[in-house]
Amino acid sequence: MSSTLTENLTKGTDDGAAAGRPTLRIRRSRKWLGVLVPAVLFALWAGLSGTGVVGGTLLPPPWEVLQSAVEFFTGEQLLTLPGVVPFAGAGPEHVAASLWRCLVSYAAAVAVGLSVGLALGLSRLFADLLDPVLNGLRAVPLYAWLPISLIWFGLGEGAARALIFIGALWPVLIATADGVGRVPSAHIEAARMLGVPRRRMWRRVYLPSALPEIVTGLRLSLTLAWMCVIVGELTGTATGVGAMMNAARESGRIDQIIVGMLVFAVVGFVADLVLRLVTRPWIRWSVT
Amino acid sequence: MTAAPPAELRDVRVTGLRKSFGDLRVLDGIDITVQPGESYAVLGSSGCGKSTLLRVLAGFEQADAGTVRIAGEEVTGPSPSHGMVSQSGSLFPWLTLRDNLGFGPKESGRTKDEVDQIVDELLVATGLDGFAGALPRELSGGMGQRAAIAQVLANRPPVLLLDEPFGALDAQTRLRMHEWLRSLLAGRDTTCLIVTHDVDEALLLADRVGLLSARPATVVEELVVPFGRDRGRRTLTEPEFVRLKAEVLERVLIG
Repeated sequence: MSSTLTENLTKGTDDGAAAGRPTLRIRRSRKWLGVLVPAVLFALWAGLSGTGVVGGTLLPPPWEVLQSAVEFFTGEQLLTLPGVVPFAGAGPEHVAASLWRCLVSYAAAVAVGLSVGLALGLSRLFADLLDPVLNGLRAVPLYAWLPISLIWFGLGEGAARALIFIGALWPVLIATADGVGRVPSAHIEAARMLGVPRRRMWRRVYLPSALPEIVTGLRLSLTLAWMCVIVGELTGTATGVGAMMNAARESGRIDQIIVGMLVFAVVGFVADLVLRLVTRPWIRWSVT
Repeated sequence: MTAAPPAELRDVRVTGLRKSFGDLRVLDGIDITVQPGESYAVLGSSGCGKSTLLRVLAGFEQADAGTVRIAGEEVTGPSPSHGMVSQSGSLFPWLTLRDNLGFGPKESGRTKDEVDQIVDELLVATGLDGFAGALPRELSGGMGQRAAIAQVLANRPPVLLLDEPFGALDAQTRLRMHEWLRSLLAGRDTTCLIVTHDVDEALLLADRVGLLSARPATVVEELVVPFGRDRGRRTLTEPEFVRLKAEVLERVLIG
């Protein structure tokens, strides 16, 4: 049986002795339920493939996809002609290229989003000046940025990074501005009363108070950055999971396309999990 | 870091204070003098302008007319020298109790050793020494208010301003908090100004009580509380206390 022990501090007493004494509460984890749906879907897919209801070139059976996945990560790499995106054994290289592309653009989006978001939340003047422009820009679909990115940055790396940056920018920017704008006036007054000068207020009060919203923004931005990788890599990068999928589309290899989709799903899930674990201590105070 | 003012300068002088919000006049010529080391309660019914008075004293609101001098200096804004504790407290939820208590001293440029010493002393004084690592949400209401008062006292303010500090607590806890606050202030020379609508609270905590009229508020009467500093739950049932409480209630209701 899967179970976790959690310690909760008791509340509601004032004698100082009983309050705060840790009590043990057994809470059964039901996280295994999350595996149930994919397992059923997989079984359904395998079952239907076995009976021949689905299959063929449009939806290959799961064992073929699994075989391709193994080949993608552990197969022997063959020499390919320049411009041909390799598949066999090129998995680690493609995943690393996509991850690096994603992280560089994500880092830039976080830096800009946090700075502009803080400025928007802290300055009424800044918000009045920029709000209409930013609200207009974020309504522009990512695909609408594609032509101009290709012209400005050319086919490949530059355009890919620009598109990922644009996709990842908005959640962290909006969450930061919103979180900073919602800091309770009681916290601001308390800080002023305790002697915090105006220039340090953002670091001592606004930023920590807005952290729960900012962390949500960081998670959404990471997810979007990872989703935008495929759009970016369609601009013609030589490496990356998206580039591999584009090549697979051209050669009609649906099994390889599904492998790419699965890689996106798994890496995206793990990246979000890592970010959650890293940021959990920052927002421990807001978790009920 | 500024030195604490001498004991004779730990006073509060409010003269001709007026404050309106638009057409609504809230304070109408308030005059109060609180002597150094004295506890003074401003007593009035809900909505009469008590909290506005304290916010002006704390420097969060500007008066339309009149002056407020605390510890010899005119109040122009909030300052660690006249810290205010409200009903909801002022603890930062993202900081542990230790960091909350050390927040003010750290901001005023004290060394880490000095901050630790101040915090340790206050943790003992508040009976919260076992909870230094707890977050505010892990504290009960009474513990949280004790911590909020300690957070302000950490700056060693000459004047402490309390805005119905125990108003959100149940009656039993409130009584325990009154006893605790009296014993805490007895060991310090902090001047204390409390606003409250609770007659028991005013008579248990204050050396003098100023009765506020209905809005626009003005001090209609001041009375000296004739009990010694050793007040507690037993004081509540003393005939003199019961008589005085009835008299004050009557005046507040008429006011």
